[in-house]
Amino acid sequence: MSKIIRAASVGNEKQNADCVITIEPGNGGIELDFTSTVEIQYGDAMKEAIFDELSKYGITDAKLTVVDRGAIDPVLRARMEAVIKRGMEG
Amino acid sequence: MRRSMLFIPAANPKQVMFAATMGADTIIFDLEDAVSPMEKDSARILLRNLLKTMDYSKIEICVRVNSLDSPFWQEDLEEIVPLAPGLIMTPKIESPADVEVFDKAISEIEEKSGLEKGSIGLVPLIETAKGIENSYLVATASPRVKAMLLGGEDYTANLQCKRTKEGNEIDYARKRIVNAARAAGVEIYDTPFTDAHDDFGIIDDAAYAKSLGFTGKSAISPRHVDAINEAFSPSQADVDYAYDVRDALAEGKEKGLGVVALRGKMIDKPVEIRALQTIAIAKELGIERSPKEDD
Repeated sequence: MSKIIRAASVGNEKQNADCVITIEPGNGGIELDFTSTVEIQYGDAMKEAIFDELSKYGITDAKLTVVDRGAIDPVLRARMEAVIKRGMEG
Repeated sequence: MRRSMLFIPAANPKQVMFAATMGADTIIFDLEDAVSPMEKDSARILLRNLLKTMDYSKIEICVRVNSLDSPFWQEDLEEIVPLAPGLIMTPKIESPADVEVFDKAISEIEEKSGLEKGSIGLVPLIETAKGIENSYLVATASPRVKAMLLGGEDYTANLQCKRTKEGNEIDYARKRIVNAARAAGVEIYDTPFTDAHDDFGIIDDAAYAKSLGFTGKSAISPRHVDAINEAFSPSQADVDYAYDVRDALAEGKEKGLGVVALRGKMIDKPVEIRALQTIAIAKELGIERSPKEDD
């Protein structure tokens, strides 16, 4: 099992079609704060992608904030992968 | 057919997503200058995901990786080469040895990824005085080298002079690199015109590059793509003349003539070669011959 050992963030808050994600060590579980400009239409699918990326890296304990501005699935997953890798680095 | 090569920052999801709609023949996804050192990792992952997902089948894909003097180029190749982009652009190339380092690294990843060895082309970016002087050696360093690109900004910084819109300071480099590329049998692309808001300057700059023998020109602004495509496409008059040359030669051959003339001028071998090149390009661009007046 992998661990998030430091706070990290990725993404550009000024860019459309992007999302800003921050990650930090959790308090025993996954805590997700999610907001999106397309939450009503795609919120469930996006949260599923977020949890899928966490499980790929075996992350079970982290605090996440995702502020989405219309990122499509490969962009959201790229941002998740980058922030997880940054958070896992020593 | 590659006339325009448009740089797109690999860290910008929206621009990467819509790259295929910009009208450029080739998109250069930039992992180098357009991406800050802090974002190299995220840009690389973003580009990899979007290259896997989006439909770029109508354009040629080139990726500019980071230079050999950076700590990033190997990771760039590891992430991008398995996706088999048509071209990899390598910055700050100064010698055949630089090309060989990239060639070897790409070959190893091609083999690991099950790609045909040599299937990915290289476009060395020549942007130093030393690179210009060695440009023929660079172009012939590997069969992987398909084209070279002149980088005017770094080159003038290296020359310790000011980059101007007129471009007198890069004139020697332009002429030298065109000659080197043509001698080596590879294509050659001009440096971008950097004033994104000058819609007339780009027309003159592209026409001048075309007159020197460049195959095409790069751009950092989508606004310049149409002007570049137009400058590097044959005009209707060029196409019609090329077909007239071809017909005159065919007619002369039929009549057993040793020398063939068209409109009072002898058609020699270079004229024939140029005409056939023009016809080939016109066919690729879908430019047809004008109907004859008596048709």
